[in-house]
Amino acid sequence: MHTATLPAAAPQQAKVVAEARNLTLSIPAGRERLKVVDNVSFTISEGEFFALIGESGSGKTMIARAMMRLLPPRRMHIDGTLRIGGTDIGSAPEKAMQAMRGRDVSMIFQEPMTSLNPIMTIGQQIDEAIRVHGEGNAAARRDKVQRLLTDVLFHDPKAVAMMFPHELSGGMRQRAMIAMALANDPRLLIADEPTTALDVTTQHEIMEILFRLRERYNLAVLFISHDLALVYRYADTLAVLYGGVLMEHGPTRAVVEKPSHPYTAALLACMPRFREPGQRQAGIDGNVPRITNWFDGCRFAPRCRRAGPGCTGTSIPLDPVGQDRTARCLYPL
Amino acid sequence: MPLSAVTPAAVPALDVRSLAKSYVRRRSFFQPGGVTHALRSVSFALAHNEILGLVGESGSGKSTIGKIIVGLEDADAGTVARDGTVIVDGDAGRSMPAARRGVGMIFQDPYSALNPRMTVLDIVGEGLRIAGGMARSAIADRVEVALKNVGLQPEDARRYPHQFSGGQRQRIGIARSLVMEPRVLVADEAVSSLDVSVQIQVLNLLLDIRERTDMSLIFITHNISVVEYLCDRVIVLSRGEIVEEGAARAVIEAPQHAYTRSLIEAVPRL
Repeated sequence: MHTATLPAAAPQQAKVVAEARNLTLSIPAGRERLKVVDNVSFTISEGEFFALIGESGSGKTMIARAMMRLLPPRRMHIDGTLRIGGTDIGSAPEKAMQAMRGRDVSMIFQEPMTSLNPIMTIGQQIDEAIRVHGEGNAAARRDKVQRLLTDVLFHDPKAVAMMFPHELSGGMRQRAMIAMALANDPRLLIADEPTTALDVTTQHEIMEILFRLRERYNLAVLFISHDLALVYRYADTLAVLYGGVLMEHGPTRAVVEKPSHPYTAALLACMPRFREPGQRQAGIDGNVPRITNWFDGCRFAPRCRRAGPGCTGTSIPLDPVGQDRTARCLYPL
Repeated sequence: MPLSAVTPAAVPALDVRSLAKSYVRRRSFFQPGGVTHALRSVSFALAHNEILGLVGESGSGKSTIGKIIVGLEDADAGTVARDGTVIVDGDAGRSMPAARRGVGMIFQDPYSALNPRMTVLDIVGEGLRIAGGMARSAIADRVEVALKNVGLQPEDARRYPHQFSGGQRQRIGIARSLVMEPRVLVADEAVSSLDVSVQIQVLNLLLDIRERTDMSLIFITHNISVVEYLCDRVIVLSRGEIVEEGAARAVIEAPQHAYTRSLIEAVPRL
């Protein structure tokens, strides 16, 4: 399999598939509500490989779940705007959400085995996914199952369709999950750390498949990860989250090669690489703040070496820092 | 067991010779029976104060080597000697009890490796208590030193695992190994489940410990970037065999074996 070359930024006139504007997500905690995502804005266009990067507790998975509305609205409040295609996720009735899931937006998860039914063959499960949206006769569906399995690079799709999940390796299961997620030709695929549980060579395989699918079907991919190196190789656009806040956003190459926000730079400094004897990479001092200790202003300030007056207290605006780039920092690099 | 007659300076910290291990798979509803060769005659030496990386895909046998060295698995054939003393003798089917080997281990998942109902003092001091012959206060002193060595506070000894973050829990796991003063530490995917900012802290901690003591470390991972940063030497395993071995930088920059190349190409690096 060939290594993908670094993509150019997605064309600007491409149609917007998903849009978050001043998106705030909150969940109940006792009598209060905790804001797990705070005032986040971004758009994802057709054919765009969009990466959401952050450490545990940064809110990246919450955004993904909100996009599918996997938590009921009374559990998770959606404030601000979150639109997928023409649907307003915050206010759409559940019926509209059901019609949308799988058809407009689809999702794959970290652990494919827990998402697959152990007593149905792969073919039956993909067929079921197609039937949910009531498409085609049996023969057409059978052809589609074959095509989907071919798309995720199974050499013998007929044989794989007749296999049960336990007969597949971890990487093959994730490929089967991708085939199932694409059963109704969604325009946006959300991939929540799909390769974290996999070996490096299998990870490579999955990434190449996602990359190819987006080219072939002009599919938008929202890729959630904590691995900046992985994202650097595949994503067009990068958004960095910390403490539920979008810290920096822009074309991947530009952001990684010349980060504006000190947190992005600090994350990059954490990626292990060759060092001279006796030298150390600095990493980031301290710990990720707990959600119960969140405050207005820059939540990274207590760990930031550039922090100065004004960083804590009032919220920091997301300012332009270059072409198509924004950063939420008073003292950008 | 007999001590080897060689002078200590020439004796490696760990001498692994022709180690072999296979598993008999029982026939089940899910799969036919058969024999899986996890290791086929693996030999290598670990020098004093060296950090050696073992890399390979799942099923390459890297974890099996670690488990045999610490005593979680038995070897079918081959030997392992620590500072000249045989600790595993697969040929004779005899092994030294795990507690006396002078080998410690840290595990992948700091969330499941710590007993939630025990305080940090009890978790870290458990090995010393089981070894016996130490007063409670002496154990508490040793635990305090071990916690300090991994960057935790003395008062942390009274707290429970759930009160710590992932990185701190991994430090507790490391302290639990260090308190036994092992000569060799085996780390199996010890940073894979940690956030990148925590991962670098733990790697730096391992480098610090190596500098302060004469301990040697076997670091099992599939992450080439971590090997780059941490390891002096690296051994590449595929299907239970060593396919390449050498200085970490040389192997990663100019891999000789096709398998090593594919492994390195698969990992995106900055």
